[in-house]
Amino acid sequence: MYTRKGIRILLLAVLLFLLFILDLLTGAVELSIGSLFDYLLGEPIDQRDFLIIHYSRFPKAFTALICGAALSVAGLQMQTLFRNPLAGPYILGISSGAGLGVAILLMGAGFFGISALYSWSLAAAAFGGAFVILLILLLLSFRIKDVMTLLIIGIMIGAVATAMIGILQYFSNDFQLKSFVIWSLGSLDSLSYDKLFLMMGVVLLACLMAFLNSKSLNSLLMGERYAKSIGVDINRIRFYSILSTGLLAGTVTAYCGPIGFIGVVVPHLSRMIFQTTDHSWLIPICMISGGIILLVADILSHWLVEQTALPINSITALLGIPIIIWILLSKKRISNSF
Amino acid sequence: MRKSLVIILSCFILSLLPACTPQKSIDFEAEGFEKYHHTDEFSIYQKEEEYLIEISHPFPTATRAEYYQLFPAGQNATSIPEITQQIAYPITSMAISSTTHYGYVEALGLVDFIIGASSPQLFYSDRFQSNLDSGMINPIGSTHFNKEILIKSNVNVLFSYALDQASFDEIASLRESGIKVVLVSEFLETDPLKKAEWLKFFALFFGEEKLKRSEAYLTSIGKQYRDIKEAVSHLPNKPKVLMGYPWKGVWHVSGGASYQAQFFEDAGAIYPWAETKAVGSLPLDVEVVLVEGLDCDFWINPGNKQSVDQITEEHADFAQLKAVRKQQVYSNYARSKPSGANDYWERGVVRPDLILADLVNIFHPQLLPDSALYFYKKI
Amino acid sequence: MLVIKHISIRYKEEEVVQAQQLTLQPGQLVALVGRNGSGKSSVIKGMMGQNPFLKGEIRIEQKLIQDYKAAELSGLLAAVFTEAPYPAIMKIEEFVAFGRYPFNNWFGRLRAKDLALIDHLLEECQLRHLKGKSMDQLSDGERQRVMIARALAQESKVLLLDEPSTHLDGKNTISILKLLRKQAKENGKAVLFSTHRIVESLELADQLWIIHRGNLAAYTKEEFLGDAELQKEMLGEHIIYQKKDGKHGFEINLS
Repeated sequence: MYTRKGIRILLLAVLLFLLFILDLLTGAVELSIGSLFDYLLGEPIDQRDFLIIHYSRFPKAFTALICGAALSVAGLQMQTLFRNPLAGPYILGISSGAGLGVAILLMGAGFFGISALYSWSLAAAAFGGAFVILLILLLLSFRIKDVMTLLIIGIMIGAVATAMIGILQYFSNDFQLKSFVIWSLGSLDSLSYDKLFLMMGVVLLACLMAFLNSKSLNSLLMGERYAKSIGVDINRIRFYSILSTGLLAGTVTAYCGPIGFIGVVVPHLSRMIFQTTDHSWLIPICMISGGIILLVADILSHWLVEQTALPINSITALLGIPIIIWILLSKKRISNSF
Repeated sequence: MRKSLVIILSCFILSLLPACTPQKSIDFEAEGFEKYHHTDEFSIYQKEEEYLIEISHPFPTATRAEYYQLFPAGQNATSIPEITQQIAYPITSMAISSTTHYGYVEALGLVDFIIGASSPQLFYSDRFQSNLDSGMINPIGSTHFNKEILIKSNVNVLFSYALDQASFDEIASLRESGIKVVLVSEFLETDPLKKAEWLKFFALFFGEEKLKRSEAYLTSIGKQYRDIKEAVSHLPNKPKVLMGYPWKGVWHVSGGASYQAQFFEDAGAIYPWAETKAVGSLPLDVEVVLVEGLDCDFWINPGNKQSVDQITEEHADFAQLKAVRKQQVYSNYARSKPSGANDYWERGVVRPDLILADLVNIFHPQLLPDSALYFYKKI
Repeated sequence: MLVIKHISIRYKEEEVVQAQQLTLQPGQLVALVGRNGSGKSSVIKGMMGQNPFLKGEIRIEQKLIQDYKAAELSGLLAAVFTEAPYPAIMKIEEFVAFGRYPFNNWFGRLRAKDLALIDHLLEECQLRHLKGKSMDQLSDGERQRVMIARALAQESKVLLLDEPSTHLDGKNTISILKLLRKQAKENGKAVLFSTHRIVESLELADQLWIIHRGNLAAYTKEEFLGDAELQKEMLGEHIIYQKKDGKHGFEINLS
């Protein structure tokens, strides 16, 4: 059993690598494989090709990898914690919080009369918003007995944030509106290397946190009551899975805007293909699969229309929806899907 | 668990600290620079053949300035740490991201230096369109800049603008990949003449000769503007003017401190919101605007409406407005194309005198009997 | 070894169950009996320390149940509930392995000892032939036995079951009760199960803990059979215990 899983994971990793290379080759400008290999091998190449690979292609591909991994692990934890197959990284309103932070920064200047601090990046505003929501949820998670109540409260908090965004949008002008809308369409582009490294650090940390909690997460599949009866500290696992999800979803949203569907679809796909519910396997599998799916989405976004890139959220939706339908049709009962 | 929360909170706060460092401003005198020119939004300092441009607001809510250093090509530039971009002049090629930029470049006769532009369909100039068709000008991306195309094109300088932190972040990313980006904030000027003075800004990138030419141009324009303004100031009657158009219950009108309000004042009209402090636009309730608008003699810039019938079809009650009844509704789309291109935003920025003349023709037709409307037309 | 002292549990708006003193001894099989809605589940949850509405003392091995850490308690007390979520694609032996969680490392690795125990339990619960199947491929009765096997895998001193026979037919009920009895008698566990099926329990259980008008008390079989009033309350009017010709049994009176 272990070797079969091992081989499949190896194949998955190879696929990831190939897609990564393919993503490096996709973009507005023609790039030859020769140039790419020269770059990778450290050989001298055309100055412009270097700039394109180094400042456009590599950051983009890495971002897709990291975001795909982050969202999938976040979605996995949410599905397990709430035993809800439709749960995803944004279900607790974390991305709405991020959106509110961004909305205040982009549209609130007029409404609140605040001036933006010059070096406050958009990411800080987004992460700040996500963090506030995360804090509220963590404090509530201690007090609330039933995990379903926590879920509903999370959804409601998200709805409040969305409503406030609506108000800000109503009073903003064309430019501000467009700016916000564009942000909310998501983008994997334009991350500088220091942002990239920070994101990678946080994501790896949060995924490690989840991995170390595999046993507790597994036991949650029996329901919280049983989990408690075999010695799992329910408050603790709630805390750390919400924290991990908040870090993952918050960071991705902060740097790339909200990217949907990946977090819901990839855990299901992973469970289906590997026929396991063991989180110590699922977490690494989701990380690789998430990277694969988002790389595919990115390749498609650059490939479908000449010279321009389609917004990443539209592609993930177009990819995600058929996959969800396929999963639904091939399963007996979605409610007990895991 | 509380411990990890405290750790994360502190990490978060610590990560924000670098953002709070105050910016050091440049001591121009110490560096040997003298002030050469300034408007509200930009200043030029000069030291022999080197120039420093200070942009006060790289984007509207920015709290720090940007500094561009222009030095003659082939020479060394003085090293000053707070400089945002060092650029050798004359520049060899440029990309622009706004039709207003084109207005300046065209007035300087430097259209052929443009090799890239955003949303090219929005440009009115035939010369631009023909350069576009011949492949001399390439699209460089509209909602986002296409970084790869910009890199590939080897463009010397990209003239762009930033409206908020999001677009500013994008500019930072372009700069990181080696593209020189200069931010133009002419739209933040509240005085039409100062807006025109950005001609000097653009001229500076092409050398002394162009700079002198721009100054002569501006002197002439300035004089024409002031002459008209002077003549108007003696007129006793000042009509009332309404502007803008509602969208979903909200009617944006220019604030009292905006350049549009300045135009109205200089053209001898009474603008109901002249006393407000807003530099941008005010989102007002339709009813509030209608109350003022009822007895306005003229209605300027009703959005993109092409005829009064279009207006009354959408809003039957607007037929009551005095300006509509007296058929005194004017749109600035006289020189426009179906694609949305409008010369008002191209040539208009360097010819405030023509705009002023138009408005005066509308408000006080008897004053300039020999001239015809240029940017405006009656609808 | 599990001692209940002076407890009262509020389980619905106005309803309360009280008990004076009850002890669950190792090697005993106890049936917790009561009408539907009399609070049986609440009592069991209380005995596990998972009922916040319980006032009073519950001790296991002299220590108050609240004073135990969850991990410690899991070695002493195992439970089986009525509704239980389960991962559909999980194999039954993996599910039973959950019971070993209190004893294995942070990674959940199963040692040879654990695997042997799981195999043994599958055998005991007549699940051997289902090994390798996933949870959603089982019948209700089979799944119930898997739940029990999982609880048994905890090797706890006390085993509590909340209505283990609810979805089961007579034959399955009996086989599960026999299994429980074996656990009590041969493995020395203290086993308590709740049910509203009194007739089967009478034969197999050592004690009946009966919730009657809000009061929980222990009865032996003889005490119960000797109390006609109580019988009428618990069994209803139509089932009468008869002793005739040295034989005894229940008759259903349909008049």
